[in-house]
Amino acid sequence: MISNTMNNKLPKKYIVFKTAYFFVFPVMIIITSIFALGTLFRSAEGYHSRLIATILFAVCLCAAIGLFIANKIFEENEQYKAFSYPFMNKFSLGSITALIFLMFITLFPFYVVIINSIKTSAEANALGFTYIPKQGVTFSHFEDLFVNSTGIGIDLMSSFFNSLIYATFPVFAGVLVSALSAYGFAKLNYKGRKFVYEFMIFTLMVPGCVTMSSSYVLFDRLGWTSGVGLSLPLIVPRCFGSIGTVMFLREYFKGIPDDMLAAARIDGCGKLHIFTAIMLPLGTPALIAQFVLGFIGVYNDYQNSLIYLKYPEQYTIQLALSFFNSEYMDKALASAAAVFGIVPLLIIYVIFQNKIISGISFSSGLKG
Amino acid sequence: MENNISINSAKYQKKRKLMKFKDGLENFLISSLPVFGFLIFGAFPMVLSLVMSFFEMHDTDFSNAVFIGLDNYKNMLNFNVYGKDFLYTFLTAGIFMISVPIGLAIPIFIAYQLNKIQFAKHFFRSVFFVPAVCAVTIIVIVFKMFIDENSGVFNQILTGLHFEPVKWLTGNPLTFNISMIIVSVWSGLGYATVLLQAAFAGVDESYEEAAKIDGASSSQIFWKITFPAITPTLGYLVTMRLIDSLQQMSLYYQFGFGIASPPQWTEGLYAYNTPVVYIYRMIFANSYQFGYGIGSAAAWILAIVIFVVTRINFKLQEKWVSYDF
Repeated sequence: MISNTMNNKLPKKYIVFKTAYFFVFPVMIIITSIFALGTLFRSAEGYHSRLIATILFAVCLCAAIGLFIANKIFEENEQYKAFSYPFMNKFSLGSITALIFLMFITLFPFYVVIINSIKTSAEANALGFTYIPKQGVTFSHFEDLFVNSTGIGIDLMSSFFNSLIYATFPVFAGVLVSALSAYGFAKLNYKGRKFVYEFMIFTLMVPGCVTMSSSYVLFDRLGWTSGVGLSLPLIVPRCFGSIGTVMFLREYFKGIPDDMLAAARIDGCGKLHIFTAIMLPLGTPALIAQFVLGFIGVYNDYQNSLIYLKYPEQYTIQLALSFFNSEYMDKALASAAAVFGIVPLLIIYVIFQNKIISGISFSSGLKG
Repeated sequence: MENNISINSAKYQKKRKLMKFKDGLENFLISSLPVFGFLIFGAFPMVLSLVMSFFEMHDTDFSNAVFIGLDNYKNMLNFNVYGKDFLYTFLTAGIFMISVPIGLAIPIFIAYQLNKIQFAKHFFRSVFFVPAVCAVTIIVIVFKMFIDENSGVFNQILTGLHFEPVKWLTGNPLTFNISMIIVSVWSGLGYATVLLQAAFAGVDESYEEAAKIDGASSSQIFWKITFPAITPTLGYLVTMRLIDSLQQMSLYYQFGFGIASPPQWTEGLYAYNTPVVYIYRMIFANSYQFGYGIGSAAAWILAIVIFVVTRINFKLQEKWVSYDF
């Protein structure tokens, strides 16, 4: 950049310092924060880890502050401030280091669970976690989960299909209903439309815990909680769509020009025909985003299944998986179950990630 | 218009009105299908639970219910009856609320850094979002392997560095709650990052450029321009997280019931009892002792607390959220 012309004027020690600062400072910050964490724990009998961590933390902190101040002082020199190698502008090393560090923290738990799932039971349950399977790799736990599932008492596969049923048809119907409603709120006028819309938003404000008891009473009185098959309380309310989806789709449908609808009306389209012929096809991307988000939400729902499902044959995947939380459960088996629980959503996430992320950013009033 | 008699005739006007009414009704029906759903499955249960909170009911049958007026509320707030237990659940929720500032500070940092780098932005964002698609159940299984006392990864690292191992889940209520905070911060990282990154991307660069030309330092630019510009999104996240943390259930319930001897605040007051776990257990696990009526009353008290917290939050947000950008 500009610096190329100035390089020869700047003393070499400044250049060395600036380059060193660029590389060392971000690393320094991360090391300091690690030592800071160390000061929070008690040291073991006969060792002084905490003291050492505290001293190292103090030293690193002082060094980091010293570097920072030195850089600030040098920056009063205009040439120093303007100097930079081209790569310094291309990326910020501090950002990259910090992001990679945080990325490892984010992914590390997944690594642990995947590695545990392919270890032998003996190794997985032994004291001390091994980062690489030492007793060989085995897939027998997955086999146990699906082929010899009677030994465990929980049929993961059938609970997975239960979840799939709860998460597809009701959510699909709900998204369609929400879309119809959003079309009404966005494009059709009637007296009191604003009031109805605000009433819907108002119901969003009431915390869900309030209706926990009364919903159960209501469904029990209706006779919906005693069945052995599919549980209606997990299906019927979801078929009516969700307020969040209506709000999202309403904003989306508002963007469709009125002229298009007027043209269709002149050609003799009824209101519902306009909906199926214009709104649905144009809104497909948004509908898919909402469907995927709804699917993830219902598939991951634990609380409602806990309340309404009583028999093991009815269990959703979340309820079935929660049996692997027990303290006495074989860790390798539990890991295998967790891996099986993650995989379907991970596949969906990889396929639809742009839709999911834009759907989420949009729903908070932003366009990501 | 004047010479067209039929438009002004009473019959035509009546028909026009009828047609307009029919049109409006049709529009209403189209847009209000979900509204009926909310009336039946949202608003009606709300009223029902308010009514139920004045009754003593141990099963779902109303003919066995006994009207006891405000006794349920009195019992919930009386320290000699259930008030102490209930207050401790709010202590748990209060400690858990620490996860809100921590769980948003880290995403602010990540999102800011994501906007600074030129490449691999989408890759990083996708990676950070992965925990957000995981269900609580899976997160619990995964973190059990981390915070296990004997063979957990955390303790292994600690003992490797000659620190004393920590009893994350069974030690005392505080470490239990800290574990929950760690887990929820980890799992909430991605969602906040995505929203905040979109907010950072939406900041008008011309403001920053102008400030730079005027000689502002990068920290000045961040605190005076960039940060205020993302406060609306941040405020939204704070509100949602506050409400969610007061209504936390699945995480505490699953961690608490997976261990043989959960830590207690005092005798019989378990640390896993957040308000909603407590209410859930009142209604469904101990309905012989408590039942649906008092559970509803407790839920309404919680709702009022949530309402008050939200109001305070909005009042405070008037001070730090700026809509000028």
